[in-house]
Amino acid sequence: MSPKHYLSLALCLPLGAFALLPSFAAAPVPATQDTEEMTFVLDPVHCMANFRVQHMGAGMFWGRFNDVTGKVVAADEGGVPVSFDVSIAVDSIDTGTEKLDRTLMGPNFFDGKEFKTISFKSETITPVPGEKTKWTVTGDVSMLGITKPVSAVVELTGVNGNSVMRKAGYEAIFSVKRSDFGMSWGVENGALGDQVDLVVGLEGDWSA
Amino acid sequence: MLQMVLMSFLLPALAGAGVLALCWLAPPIRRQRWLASSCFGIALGGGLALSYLSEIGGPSFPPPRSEGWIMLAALASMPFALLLGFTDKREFPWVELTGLCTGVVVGLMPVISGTETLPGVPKPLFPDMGIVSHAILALELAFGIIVVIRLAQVRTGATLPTAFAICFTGASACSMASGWISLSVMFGVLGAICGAAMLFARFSGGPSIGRGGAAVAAGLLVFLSTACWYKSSPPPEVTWWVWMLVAGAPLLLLPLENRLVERMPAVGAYWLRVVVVAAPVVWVLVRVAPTIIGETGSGTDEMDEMMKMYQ
Repeated sequence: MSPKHYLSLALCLPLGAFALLPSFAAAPVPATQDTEEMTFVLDPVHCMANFRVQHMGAGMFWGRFNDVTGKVVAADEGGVPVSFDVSIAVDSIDTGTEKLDRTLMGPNFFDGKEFKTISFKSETITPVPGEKTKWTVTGDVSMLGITKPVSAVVELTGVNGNSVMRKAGYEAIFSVKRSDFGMSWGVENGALGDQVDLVVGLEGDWSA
Repeated sequence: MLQMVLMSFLLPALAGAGVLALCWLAPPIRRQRWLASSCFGIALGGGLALSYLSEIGGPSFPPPRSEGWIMLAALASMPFALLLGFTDKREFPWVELTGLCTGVVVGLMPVISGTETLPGVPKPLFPDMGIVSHAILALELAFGIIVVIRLAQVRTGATLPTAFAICFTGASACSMASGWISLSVMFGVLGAICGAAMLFARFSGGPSIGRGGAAVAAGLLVFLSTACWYKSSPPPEVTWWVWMLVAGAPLLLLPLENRLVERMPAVGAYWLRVVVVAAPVVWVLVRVAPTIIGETGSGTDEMDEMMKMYQ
């Protein structure tokens, strides 16, 4: 190899390496193998369970539980949920009205002194046909000492992060009949509807 | 709504009042001393059981939820009152034994209620109620029952039914303020039955509520007040001593059993006793009224809404 070739090689190598840099920066760095499961611990600050129920056969009133804890196990870097284990503190109920909170916390409704949490544990997770980010999640809800199976549509709302920290967000929408759990006050006389619609927003944190 | 008022309040109250009318006003029956002496307790227990049945549901043993003990207490209070009706003429130690036995049964509740979900593991009667609280409740029940039975022996007529009507009404308001609507209705039923007893006592020659009636009235007042304190989330206005004022108000009749009051005209003495019992309860009502009518909260509760809608 002539000295001219050495010179051109010496010039080209750094340039080539420099040219490769952007492609290294843009390439995703997998935190784990795609199939490896990651456990996302729910962040109570950014999780909440909203519910709505018909009042006096007229309007729908909304309330929420502010203290939602638990974990979500997910594969594909948080993009595919594998299991949900969620717990809601009953005394975190918040309707915006202190007096109504007290009534809902009382024995006629959530009986928060005796049953301090509402829990959900998933059993099966199956993709919704034609949807890439939605799953039908079945599992057991335990409330007021009664455990009943429920089915929810869960949507992946987003995954963000890097190889050290990662966040995954999900939203579950489902309905339950409160009388199934022994919460029957006001059902017969129409004071409050039996069907309760829930929208549960979950955000979990994973760290290496 | 009308059905709820009818089934949860009117029907149980009328049933209780019917028992009292039968036993205190019907000439052939009122001669049966043991029945006249126990009917007040039977009316209260029966009324409470009917109201519970309509509001919450039927009895089960062991109850799946701790408020189920209220129904069992209501059902047990009827034969208990009847039993005490037969001991009405007996003196020491029957009165003291009645109070102590009731206290011991309630004091043993952590063990008895341990069969609820975890066999063999003592479980408190109501949530977060420790062993010490159980012991205090047992002592309160024993003391309250003994004092009220003694009062019922010397104070016949409308005085004690009036006192209990006032106290149950106050307890109903405290329950409503604490957010337990069903218990508020049940207290209301007991208050209405006592109100009916107050009226009947005027027209029936001033019968005694009897040993059975006294024990059941005092026992249920203390027991249900304790249930509400431990099971609900009371507002700052409803503290433990507010409940003590309401549940302990009948005991204020005890110091009025003296010669000075004895010498007063009957009507004056009656009203003095009523005012002394009513004073702390009225104070409590004034204290919790803003919570009930929604001045401290920013809204109204279900019962308020329904009452307004159907008026």
